Amino acid sequence: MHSTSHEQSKASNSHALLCYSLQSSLVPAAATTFALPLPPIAIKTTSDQLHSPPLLIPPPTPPVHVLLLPMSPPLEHDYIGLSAAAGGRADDDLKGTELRLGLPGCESPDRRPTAAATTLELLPAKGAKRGFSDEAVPPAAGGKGKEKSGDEKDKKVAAPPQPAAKAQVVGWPPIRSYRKNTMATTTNQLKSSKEDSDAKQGQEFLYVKVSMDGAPYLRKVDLKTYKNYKELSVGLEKMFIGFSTGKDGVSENKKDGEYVLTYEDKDGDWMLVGDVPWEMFTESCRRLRVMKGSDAVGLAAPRAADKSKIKN
Amino acid sequence: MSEEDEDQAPPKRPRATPPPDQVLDNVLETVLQFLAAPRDRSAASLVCCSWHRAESATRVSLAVRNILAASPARAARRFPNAHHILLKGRPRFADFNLLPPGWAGSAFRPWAAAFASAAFPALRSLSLKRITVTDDDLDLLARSLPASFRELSFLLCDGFSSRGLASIASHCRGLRVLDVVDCEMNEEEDDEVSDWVAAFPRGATNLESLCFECFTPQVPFAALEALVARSPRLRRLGVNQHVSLGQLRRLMALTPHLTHLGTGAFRPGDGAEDEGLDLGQILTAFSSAGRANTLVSLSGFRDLAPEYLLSIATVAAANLTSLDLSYAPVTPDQFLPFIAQCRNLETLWVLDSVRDEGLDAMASFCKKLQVLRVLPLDAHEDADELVSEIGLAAISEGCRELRSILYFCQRMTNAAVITMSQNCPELKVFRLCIMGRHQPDHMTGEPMDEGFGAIVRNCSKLTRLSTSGRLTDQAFEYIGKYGKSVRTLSVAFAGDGDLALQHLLQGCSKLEKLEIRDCPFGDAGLLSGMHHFYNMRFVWMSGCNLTLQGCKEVARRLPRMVVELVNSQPESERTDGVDILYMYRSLEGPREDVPPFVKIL
Repeated sequence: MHSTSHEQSKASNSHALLCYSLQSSLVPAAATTFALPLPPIAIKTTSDQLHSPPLLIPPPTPPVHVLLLPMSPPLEHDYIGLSAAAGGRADDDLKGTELRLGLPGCESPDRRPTAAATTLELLPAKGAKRGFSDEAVPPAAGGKGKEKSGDEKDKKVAAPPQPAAKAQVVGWPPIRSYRKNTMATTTNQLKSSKEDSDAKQGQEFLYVKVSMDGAPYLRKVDLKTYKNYKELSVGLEKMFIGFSTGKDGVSENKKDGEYVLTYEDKDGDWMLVGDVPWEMFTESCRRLRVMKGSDAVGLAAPRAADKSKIKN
Repeated sequence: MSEEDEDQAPPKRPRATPPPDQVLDNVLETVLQFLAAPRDRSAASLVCCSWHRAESATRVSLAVRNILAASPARAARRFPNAHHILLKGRPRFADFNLLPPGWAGSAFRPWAAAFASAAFPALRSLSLKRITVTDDDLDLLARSLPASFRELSFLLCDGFSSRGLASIASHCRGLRVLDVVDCEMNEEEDDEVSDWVAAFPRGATNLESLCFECFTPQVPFAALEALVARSPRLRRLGVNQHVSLGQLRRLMALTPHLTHLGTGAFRPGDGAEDEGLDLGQILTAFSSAGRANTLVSLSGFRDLAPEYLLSIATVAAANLTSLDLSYAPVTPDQFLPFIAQCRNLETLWVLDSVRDEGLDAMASFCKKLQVLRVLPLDAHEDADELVSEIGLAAISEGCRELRSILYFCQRMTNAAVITMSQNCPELKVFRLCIMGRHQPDHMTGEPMDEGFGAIVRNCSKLTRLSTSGRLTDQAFEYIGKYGKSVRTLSVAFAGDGDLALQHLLQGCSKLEKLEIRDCPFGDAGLLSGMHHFYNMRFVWMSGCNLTLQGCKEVARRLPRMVVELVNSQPESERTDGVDILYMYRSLEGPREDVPPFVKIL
């Protein structure tokens, strides 16, 4: 696993992709405020040095797939953030391996201005504007005027169709979350008492507390409502959107990669989010914390130092 | 009320500089005190200056239904003698996560400061709904409210934690009512939760009502029991889900005069209080102290053990007028024996787990029912269908006195809705939520136009309407044409185009509150309501086809409307259209504390 990726970064082989098979196909084009670090495989701007992973971060599990891209749109997304056809330029790939505070698979616009046009991007149907809205809806809902501006994203491969009935729309049905959550708990208890099964298995919800540095209080998220890190990131961003500072605070944070998402696992250790496959993450995550980037130094000492070098 | 006004001698016409007519003013004020309804008082205040003065001086109940519409200074100038103040904040759609948090996080602060500086020296009671209140606000209030302050209630509020409650408990000595209902309090680390129940002063309290059913952490039972024991006037008690049945029994033994009870878990727990608990003891608890006659309202049942519900059916049910089982997924078998005893029930909240047969049975027994809510056990579009048009029709057959219904289902038919409109002419509130969006009548395949049309046509007293299902512009033509009393309208995923919105805005002359989400309505529709917007409290349109130009046009032509454009999407998903339009009339102009995702035109 390590060696494979090391070779990759050294060789700047733009065709090899390290992929984990994940359920979702959503890969954003733009970086978001809440960023996940790359796995601790290769960090530096130069390809020589490879750092051993920081203490607390477990090595990523071996890749399930190694895909040779080009263009076919597999449902897996680029977990590590390396992209296949980014012109095959060495520094592009190195940029892909350098420490960035960006989600796996996402591209910061200022880093990869052309990459967005060519990378593997499986964009959600525009209905995802609302989180998960169902675009297979009959025409009465059409004409909402949410069409994308004619940027290159439009040329992308359409998202794999989601089963229309399963998609969730924000705030629909109009039941307060407190009620939804409470009934989910109760239903789950009824089910598990009937089936005598482990309550954790097949659980319909998975609430973890989320704290954000600077925000006055904790929130809770249901990890089961997200299928991958990207959705989690978007969901958290929406939740804390009120705390962005500055006029257009979100974009400011995004550029600086100011916030780092961390989680406490079963053993009580604090890890950076994004290193392990999503399912593994949901099983071991006990709570989340959105830290300021500077505070995350303790978790990833070498990388924080590099980060300052990498930034313009 | 207006008859009293006519008996009043008209004010004398002044000749030169008029001497203040003290006698007349005193008489006016004395008489106006009997005028209670807000609309009547508003009407009286418009008669002339002295009536305005007298009415303002004697207004006791002040309702600021949009906290952003008037400043506390203005309110205090006009109504200095207010005893009860009601403040409402966020729009209702914020309950469903459509509005980002922090939209108006500091709207309450100036009011807290005003209360603290005795701007309302006679203040006794404060009710807050959908307002963000911080612990610091509560602390400020607690330390500075007058000794006469008695009642504090929070409904659907947020922003505070147990620390704020502890402040209130320890400093508001004369407190009679502390109700925290459906609030999303701040999460706290387990070891940081304040024991606010223990913070109440030693000695007998004046507490008449204590409700904390939504409080998520556990409250130490010893402190709760001690508090209840020294609150001889307690009439309403609502405990949270951590209070077990055994603990509830002990609390009930200490409160012989209970009228409203929020029962907590309603299941035996593991603690000392539950040892040896049996059905007989529960039966006794509910039948002793003449409780069968005094107890009128039950709620809670957060982890209901159904056998205990049945056990109290014979003693507790007959006198009940209000029953909230909306957190208890009872099956028809469990529900029937209990509801069969509830002959006096007027308000019922229940989950759809009772199914059509449960609703049918309920309708056959509860002839006096006025308010019904059937809430979904599984609130998803693709959930199993538990109740249907059969239940709705059955309700209408049995409960002819029905005034208000909120009904969640997966599918519906026009026929059932028409039947309800014919059987229940007293309906004032009709809220039907077909959870599957754009669902037509599932028997005929037609849109639900005729059903909703029948409701507005046949229910002449209808003031509140929520629509769902597949609706064409025809439905809105009906609503505009017949819904002349409608004041509150909620529309979601409906209509074909601007014409629908035009029908509403031009037809519903009494419309005050309009909430629209995800409908194909654009600027033309919005602009068709210009003549009416000043008569409205607010308009919410989200997920529609509005543009910046259209909204700017409204803002330009209606300077007293505050036109807010709220963007609830993260940066990466934003588009050019308007995400949320929320506009409201205000005496204060645009507010200053505007978060970055809000733009005021």
